[in-house]
Amino acid sequence: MNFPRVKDRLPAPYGTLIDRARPITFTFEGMTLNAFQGDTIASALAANDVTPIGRSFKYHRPRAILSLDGSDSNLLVNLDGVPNQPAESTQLNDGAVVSAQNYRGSLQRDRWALPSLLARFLPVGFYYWAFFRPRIAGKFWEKIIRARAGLGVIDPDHDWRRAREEYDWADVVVIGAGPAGLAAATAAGAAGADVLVLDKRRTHGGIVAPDPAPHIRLSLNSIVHGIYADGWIAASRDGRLLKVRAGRIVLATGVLQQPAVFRNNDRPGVMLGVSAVTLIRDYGVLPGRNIVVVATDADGYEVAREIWEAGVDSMSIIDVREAASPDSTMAETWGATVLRACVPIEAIGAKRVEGLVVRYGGDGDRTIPCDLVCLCGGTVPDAALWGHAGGTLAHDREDGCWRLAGAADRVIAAGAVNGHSDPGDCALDGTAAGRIAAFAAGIGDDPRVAPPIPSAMAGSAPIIVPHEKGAEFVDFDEDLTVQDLRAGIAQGFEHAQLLKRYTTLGMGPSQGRHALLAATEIAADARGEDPGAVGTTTFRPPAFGPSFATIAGEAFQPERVTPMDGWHREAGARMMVAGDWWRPAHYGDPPLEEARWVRKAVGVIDVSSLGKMEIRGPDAAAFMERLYTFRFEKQPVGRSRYALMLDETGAIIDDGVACRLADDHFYVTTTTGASNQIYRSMLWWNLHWGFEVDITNVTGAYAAINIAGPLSRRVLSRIAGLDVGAGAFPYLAVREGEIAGVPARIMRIGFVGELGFEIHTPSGYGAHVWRELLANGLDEGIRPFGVEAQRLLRLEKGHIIVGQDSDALSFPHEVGLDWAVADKPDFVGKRSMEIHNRRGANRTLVGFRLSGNATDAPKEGNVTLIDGAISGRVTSSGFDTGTGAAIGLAYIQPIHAGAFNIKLDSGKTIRAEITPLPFYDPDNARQEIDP
Amino acid sequence: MKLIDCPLNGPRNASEFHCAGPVRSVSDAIRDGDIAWSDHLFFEDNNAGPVLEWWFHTPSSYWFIVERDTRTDAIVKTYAPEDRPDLTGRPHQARP
Repeated sequence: MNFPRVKDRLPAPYGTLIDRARPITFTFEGMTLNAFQGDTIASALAANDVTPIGRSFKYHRPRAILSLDGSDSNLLVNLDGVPNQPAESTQLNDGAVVSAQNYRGSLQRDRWALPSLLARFLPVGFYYWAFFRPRIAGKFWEKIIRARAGLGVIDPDHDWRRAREEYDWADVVVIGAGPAGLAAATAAGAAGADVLVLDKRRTHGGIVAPDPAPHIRLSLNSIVHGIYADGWIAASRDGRLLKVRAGRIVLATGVLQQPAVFRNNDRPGVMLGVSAVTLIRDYGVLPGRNIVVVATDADGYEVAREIWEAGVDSMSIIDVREAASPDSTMAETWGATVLRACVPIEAIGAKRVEGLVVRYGGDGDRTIPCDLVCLCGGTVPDAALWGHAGGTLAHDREDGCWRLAGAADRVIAAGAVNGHSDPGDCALDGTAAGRIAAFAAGIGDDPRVAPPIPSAMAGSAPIIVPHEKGAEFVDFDEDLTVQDLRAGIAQGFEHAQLLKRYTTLGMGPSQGRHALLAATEIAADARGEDPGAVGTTTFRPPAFGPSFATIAGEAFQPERVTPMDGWHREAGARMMVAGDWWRPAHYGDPPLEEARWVRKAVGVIDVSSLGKMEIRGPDAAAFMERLYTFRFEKQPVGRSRYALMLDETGAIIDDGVACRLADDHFYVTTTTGASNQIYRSMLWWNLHWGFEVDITNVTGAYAAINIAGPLSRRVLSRIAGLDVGAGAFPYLAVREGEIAGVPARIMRIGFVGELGFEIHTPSGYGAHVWRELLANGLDEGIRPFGVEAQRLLRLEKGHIIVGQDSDALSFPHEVGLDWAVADKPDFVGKRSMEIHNRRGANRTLVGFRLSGNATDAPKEGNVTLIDGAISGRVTSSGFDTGTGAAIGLAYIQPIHAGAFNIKLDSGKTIRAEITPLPFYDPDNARQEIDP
Repeated sequence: MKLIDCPLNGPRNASEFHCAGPVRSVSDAIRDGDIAWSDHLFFEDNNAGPVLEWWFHTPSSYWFIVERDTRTDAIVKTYAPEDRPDLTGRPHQARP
């Protein structure tokens, strides 16, 4: 097909948004086209007279500009490889490569275009019926639907970068920079409020003071996606997500012009009147020369006049009303043909509009040849954001129009959205709203605003002309016609909310913003009710859909690193995530090798991620006694104890080591992942108990290093400022002293089942102590080991990992920790644990050893089977550091003894022998080894 | 995002807070039978209307009580724990 030459643009002052000094070229569907810097994709295509721009969602009908609102699905295009860019609002740059979407073959001859005869195979409620029954039909349709579904194709290889976020605050946020919004901003600013004006357009639509107050900021190109609780606004500008907290919001979003509904009202060349005016005014593009304006109120004449002034060859105004009005008389004087009591019947032309068939009085139908049909089918308030904040739309029966109703939290509407049509009234309404908003946000004096000026908006009946051959589109995104809506209602889906879900009305990107007036009227008519009784569906964010990249934005997930993190990375450690922390998984050697070295000689591990709590005060021991399961009142100063914590349901939630540093001072560790939660719960419990204790979370304040292995004492003694000998420092002792010249708390605990010491030192000294230990252990061959080796070593000792070997239903008796529970009057979880104990365990955690070879090692989560029935699951799996044989922990039924089966990922079943715990050194002889 | 008026810090974004569910008597049910105790643990009133809840301001490690209307999600009032000794079961008092 030959496209006409580039049309000349209208002379200035038309084309306010384009820079005629900067011509650019771009391609659309492979054609090279000219445009100007400042053009949007849609305006440039209109200037080049290119149609269609896209294909419709369901029937693949040719489509072009309808609303220029930025959300019509038919105008989503692929720009430089990025799909679903709105042609209406996306600016072109030189060399841009644009292609259309949603067609097969070529845009001009879309093989997926459905002849109207076949359209009956996609009836309303199609998806519902296709998948409802029989089930096999769903499978049949699925393939076809998947091939066609969705608009645009994502290129997985496309460059991407994370969208940024921006936070902002203002006393008053004004949404919409038209006459009302700017007046509101000026008034609120004059009262002293910090004002932010957001508008999705590239220019404001009113008068801005030449030197506005500095605390009034105008943010254009800013699309507001939603209003959330307490004045929280989500918007975006240039792909960046804006999160704005507003004291008060002035909503000045104006009205939405509605189309007229008649056969083929979707033909390229049929567009909203405001779209034609925007093309002329902002881009200097005259989208047609022989024009028909379909009008239902004064608004239509306003549009007609603006187009007329741009210079056209002919203009007919189709006024559905009977009576002459000052507007119609005026239009006749400038030369337009006005046809009153006239309705549009059908647009003709195959790929673009060539004429409009109208029904005029008693004369029957006639065809008016034209190349542009402007639809001015009345207006509705742009109320989506009002709805987000809790407001609704109500039908004003008297004036026959939709108005804002209900209350929207922190939102004050002003201007056209509030029912005003005269720009002067809008500005007055805006000024009042600005003052009220500022005062409500706590700025300035009570404005004592005069009572609101009465709304001058007159309603107008929507133009709906059903046709026996159909194709009278109500929802252009979803390809819904009058017949579709009527069919939905006839099938019983007559409530607005049901009708939406059944027909998909308003589910497209434009959210039904151009369907509201007609759809409610059709539903009301079918039900024999008032449109107000039908009502609208609930408005929910987003009003305009941001891209997923914008929503995803930045992830502010904290990541914690230990003071030795740099050392680990330099040493080539493979780092892994543990809770919020980065920890070394291993240092390049197989974890089993690292573990064996600890058993044989000496190793060090960074355990700084352990939670650490200081419990201080006269009631410290009483607090510990009440919170943990063990006894602590009589714990000697200078000794550590295992500390197990349950929740109120008796389930294990944490464990650690409690060190008594003084009569009134305990230092307790928690598991890496639970430190914040345990700290929170300590504070909460003590709010109820009222013990005189001070609880401090010092997790980040201390670095912690565990040095373990038969040679650990020898290494430590070289840099210890205190006696670490067996006599002075027995097993489970805790001492405060100096290590490598810096203060430290040292505990002798059996962390990995070898002679070992855990050194806690202020974080700033952590790297120093770590390096000193390694430097002073060269003779012993000291080596760092990672989390994986630690797990193997601890597994061998039968130490459970809370959260891995226990779950939300594990109580001490089940996992062999009944020894850690004291018989004392009360502790958290005791009441529930007693019930568990009385009822007996449903399962028990056992150690197992595989008879087969190690390559068959099960994975955590593999099920355990007894007599073919599922009995439990494997919770930890590892290797014996001595023999390399596979060992692990698993839940099985408690009555069972001997052996059980484990089903591997491969589906193979292997035999496991129950083995008494621990696997290694049951007498704890390794703690006293002194080579 | 909701704003929560923390008694210690003033209004802050809800993302700074952690909700720990409704305020309930901690100790009464412990003396009753097993069924009453498990009801206490596992059932919540789930009232439509004003409820009292424990909230925690994470950056400042501060527990307080929020009175929230579950029908509207509106926060009616917030209390420092010492203002509601009736709810913590233990008045805050200096050690004798």
